[in-house]
Amino acid sequence: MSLRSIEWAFTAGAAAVRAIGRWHWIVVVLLLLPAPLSAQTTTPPAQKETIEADVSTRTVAVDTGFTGTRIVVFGTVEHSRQQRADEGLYDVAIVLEGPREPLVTRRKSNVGGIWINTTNYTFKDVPSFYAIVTTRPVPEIAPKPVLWQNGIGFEFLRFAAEEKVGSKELEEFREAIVRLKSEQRLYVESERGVAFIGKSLFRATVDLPATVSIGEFNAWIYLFRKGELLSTYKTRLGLQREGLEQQLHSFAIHQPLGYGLASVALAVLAGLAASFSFRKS
Amino acid sequence: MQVYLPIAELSVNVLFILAMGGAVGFLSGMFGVGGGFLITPLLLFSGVSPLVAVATGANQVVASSVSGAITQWRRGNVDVKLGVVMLGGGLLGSLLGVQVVKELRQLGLSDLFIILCYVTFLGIIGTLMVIESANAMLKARYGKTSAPRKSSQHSWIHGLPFKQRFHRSKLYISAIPPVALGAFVGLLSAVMGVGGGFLIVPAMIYLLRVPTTVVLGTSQFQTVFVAGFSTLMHAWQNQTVDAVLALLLIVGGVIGAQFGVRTGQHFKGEQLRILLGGIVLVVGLRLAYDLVVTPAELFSIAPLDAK
Repeated sequence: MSLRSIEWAFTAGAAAVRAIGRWHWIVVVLLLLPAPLSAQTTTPPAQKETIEADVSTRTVAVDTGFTGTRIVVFGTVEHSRQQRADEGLYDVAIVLEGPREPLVTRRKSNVGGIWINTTNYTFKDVPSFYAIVTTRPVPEIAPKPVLWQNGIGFEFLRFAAEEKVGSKELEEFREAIVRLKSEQRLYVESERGVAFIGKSLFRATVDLPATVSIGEFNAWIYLFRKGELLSTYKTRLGLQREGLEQQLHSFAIHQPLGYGLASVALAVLAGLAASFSFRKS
Repeated sequence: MQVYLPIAELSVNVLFILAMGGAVGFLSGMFGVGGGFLITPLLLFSGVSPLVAVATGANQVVASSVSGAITQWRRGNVDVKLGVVMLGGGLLGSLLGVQVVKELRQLGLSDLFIILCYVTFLGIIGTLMVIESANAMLKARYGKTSAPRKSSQHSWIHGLPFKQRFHRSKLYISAIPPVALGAFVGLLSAVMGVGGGFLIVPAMIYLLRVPTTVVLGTSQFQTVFVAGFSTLMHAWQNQTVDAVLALLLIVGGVIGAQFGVRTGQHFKGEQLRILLGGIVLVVGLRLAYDLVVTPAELFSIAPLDAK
């Protein structure tokens, strides 16, 4: 009975929080909270910690006005043994990965005084977007083999080239991809981007720039305690072209001839309009 | 106000693109040129990829040449027959140019090729314009007149077969030179996204000896179709025409051109030409500088095209 009333109190509290608006994601978390509460009374506290999480937006619309977006990743550690947020018992690593795409990488060299693309490799399945957000610098979280196995961090992103490449050159090109993508803010690393709020609740933000690829994004959330991987949670979100932007893009790709005719017609009309509107003036 | 360009895949400021179109429109109105050869480099400097810059530039040229051609048409300054003959070569040249770009794109060399074409043509045209207009200014100042160029009545051009009569231009010449000239300009239109007026106008005057009154109208008349064809082929074969970007440039250009025309009336012809020659040279040198200077980043990445 008393547990039931606690739950009621939580629901009422959650409704109040909902009213605040920008903290609406807390609702979801608070609804999850009764689980550890009941766990404390019915089961021994030694139960293994697990992680549950979600993203603030499941579907992002990309239209002509798209200037990028911010995704909030939030979740909770069930059976948390932390007493306070700043105890630092747990490490959380969030990997948000955009659709994988083939990528051509080129290197310039000087040929007769002019810089020309001379070497190029095609890499299959390069994440178009990759964000790694953690509670601490990646190398401090877990031993290398664990990070490598799960592909956590830039260092453990592996790309396979279609052509035969020497391992030294492959590494050079791999670094170049990470560097160039980072400059475009498409590869993002945030060393202390995950913050604990309370003993089990955490949140992080990831910014997607306007140039981000359209498609399915996967988010992996890893929970570590002292270098040991305790739990993994996977969720996803999608970026969809919408509105005029979507229509124009698919028109241009799927009906290139029709799109070309329309582009020319538009230009001719604009030219006609210009010459007629300025004729009288 | 930001807008996301669907093909260039960039988020740009609308006012910035309008202003860019306006500035080029101003210059094209002032100097009486199409402006395609300025639009494409400016798009390159703004981070648009060369292929999209060229294809979108060609689209913009369609609009500016339509309004130019209509003005000339009203004055009866279009030699339709000559224009159509040149157009025959122009369409072939454009077709070839789009294919060349498509093949080079596969090799990763299209960007370099486009920029090399720009450096070459802007360098040559800019230098010639500066020299010619400087000479004209000097002559005007010192009142010296050189002997007028002798119009050789029987140059090699008159020995060619397939002679045609072009009534409006009062010419009886072989169809080969106009077709060849058209083809070359068509090629440039496809590869560089320009109307080619900077090349076709002097060539028509000095090589074909077309009366100057008819030159501008006829060249703009054929540019409408050649640039339109290049745009169509780029959209079809390469999917590189950004209609949103083109429309913004066109709107800016139309407005800018009106002010340009008025401003241009306050200057003498040779003053305008030396100014334009200077601008052309600066743009060309800026592009050349990027080719020669050691790049900060040797690597580049690009999405692999579906086909």
